[in-house]
Formats: sequence, structure tokens, C-alpha cells
Amino acid sequence: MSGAEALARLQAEFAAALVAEGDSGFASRLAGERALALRRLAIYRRAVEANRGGALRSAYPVVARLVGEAFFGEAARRFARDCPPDDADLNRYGPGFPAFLAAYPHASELPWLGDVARLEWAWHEALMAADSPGLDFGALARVGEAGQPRVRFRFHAAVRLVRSAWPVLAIWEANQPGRDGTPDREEGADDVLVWREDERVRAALLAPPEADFVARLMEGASLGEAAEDGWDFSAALGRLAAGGMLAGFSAGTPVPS
Amino acid sequence: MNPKRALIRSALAGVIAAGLGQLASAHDGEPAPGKEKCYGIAKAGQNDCGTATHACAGLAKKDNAPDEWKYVPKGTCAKLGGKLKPPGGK
Repeated sequence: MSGAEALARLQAEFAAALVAEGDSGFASRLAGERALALRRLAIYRRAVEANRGGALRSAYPVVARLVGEAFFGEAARRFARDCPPDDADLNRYGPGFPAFLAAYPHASELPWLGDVARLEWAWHEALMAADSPGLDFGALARVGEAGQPRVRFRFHAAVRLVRSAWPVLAIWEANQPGRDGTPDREEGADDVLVWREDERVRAALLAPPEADFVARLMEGASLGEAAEDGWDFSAALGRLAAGGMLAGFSAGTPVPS
Repeated sequence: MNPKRALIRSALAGVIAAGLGQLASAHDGEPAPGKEKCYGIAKAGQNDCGTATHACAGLAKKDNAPDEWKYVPKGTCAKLGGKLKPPGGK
């Protein structure tokens, strides 16, 4: 084994020892007395746990406030064990936390918790998403009437639609700094549009027909496919365009220039 | 023209008019007055590279071992109690 291979193997063993459930045996590879080696290793183990927990806390501040410090810390520890990060960037750690919470037996009395977490992850992703180009309104104006129903929009990378059977936006708002946690509404369902505009993340509650319309467009439906007969989607489309949520489009027919 | 096509035409016309109007009033990609591009500082407490927690948490005397009381949610969810309902109170 070359020196580089030996080093890589040592590093891999060290990394495994930092997250191992029981005694990994790695302490025997460290210099000094075993008790001292174990204590030294524990410093690194707790730092890893604290950094992962901190990353989740910063992505899910409302969940943390809802359940309290001890519960959140324990859930974060178990989540880290079940779903270790697959990306070195801790800003991208935790997309699976909402599903974990929804299935977490100790949270079964809070059936809305997973959906609140989904909203928080949408917010987090909206904040971190890359910028997208703006819509080319001139090109859109050149689409002929026959081609208009075939227009399909591409969305800005920061746009998310979170649909829940629970009043998740009310819960989320009630748990922002300065609020006491009592939601203004106790009944859902909340369909929440999340996007970034002027470098800030925003959220809006959509009425069911608007949420259906936006969901269909986001799934790639053309305007003709997304338009429900009779429902005037002008305001909904205007909201998407004004908020910079539409980043481009394709038309069924070539766009004359 | 059928009503759906008319609706699509008028909705797009509105979007285009508003969009082109916005572009005409903007100065060649400069930020609007009072707004400036400012990346990566939006979330409080996320720019410290974890250095603060590093030392403190790592040097704690004990592992964060699980206890029964850590499984009981005790935050502001107490204020929500069993009051929250999906639509129709199901």
C-alpha cells in the first residue's frame, strides 16, 4: 500500500469513527492511553453532531421552535444516523427531514409537523437557489395567437409550491420572531407559493384554482393544458410574471424573430 | 375564437404589457433605487462556519445521549394543542 493509500484509508476510518453508533475501535489507532484517545475522539464526534444539528436548525427554525430544543436535538441526531449528508455543503443537508418527521413516531401527535418542515425546506431552497434569467417579454410578444396555447413556461429555480392539508403558512407565520406561536387560523388547507424576489424569499397563500393552475404549469403543462375552462387565470399568470417567477418559455411553433 | 383562446391571449397580453413596461422603466440592468445586490448574507447565523459550536459542543463532557424527555415535543406546539384541523375538520 502506498503512503497516499494508507492515508486515505486512515482518513476514511476516522470519518467512519466520527459517526459510528458504538465503539468503532478507532481509538486503538491513536497515540496515548486508550481513555485519553477515546476522549479526544469524542470531541470530534460531538463537533460533527453539533454542526449537523446546527445546519438542520438553521434550515428548520420553525420546527425547532415548535418542538423545543431537546426534541429537535434528538430528532436531528436520529436523522443524521438514518440519512447522513451526501453533500459536503451543509446548506444542502436535510431535504429528507420533512419525510423523516412525518414518519417519526414521537411526532405522531403533531401530524402537521412534516408539512411545516416541507414549507421551511422550500423557503431554504428558495433562498439558496441560483439566479435564473428573466423572461424575454419581447419574444413572448412575437408568439402568434395559434401558438399561444402551446406556450410552456420555465420557472425560476427558486420557485416552490407547497400544498398541505394543514394551515402550514399560519403556523409558520405564528412562529416567526416576535410572534407567540398562536396561529391566526386553525384550519387548512394551505397551498403556499414560495419564491425569491429582490433578494428576499416571499410566500403567498393561493386559492385552490390558482394553486392547481400553478402546479400544472410547474409540471410543464402548456397554457392551453393548464387553463381550466371558465377560470380566469390572468391574475395568477400576472403574479408569476411580476414576481420574476417565470424564467423562460418554449412555444409549440418556432418563434419568428 | 373560443373563450379559452381568448382568455390565453388576453392573459399573455397583460403579462407582456406589464413586463415590457417594467423593462422600459429600468435602467439597463441597474438595481432600482434603494435596492442593491447582496448575496449570501440573507440568513442570520449561517455565516459563522460553525466555529462557535465547534469548540463548545465538542468539548462538552458527555455525549448528547437520548433520554425519554427528549422525545416529548415541548415548544410552541403546546399553543396549537389539538386545535389545528385540515379542511372540513376531518
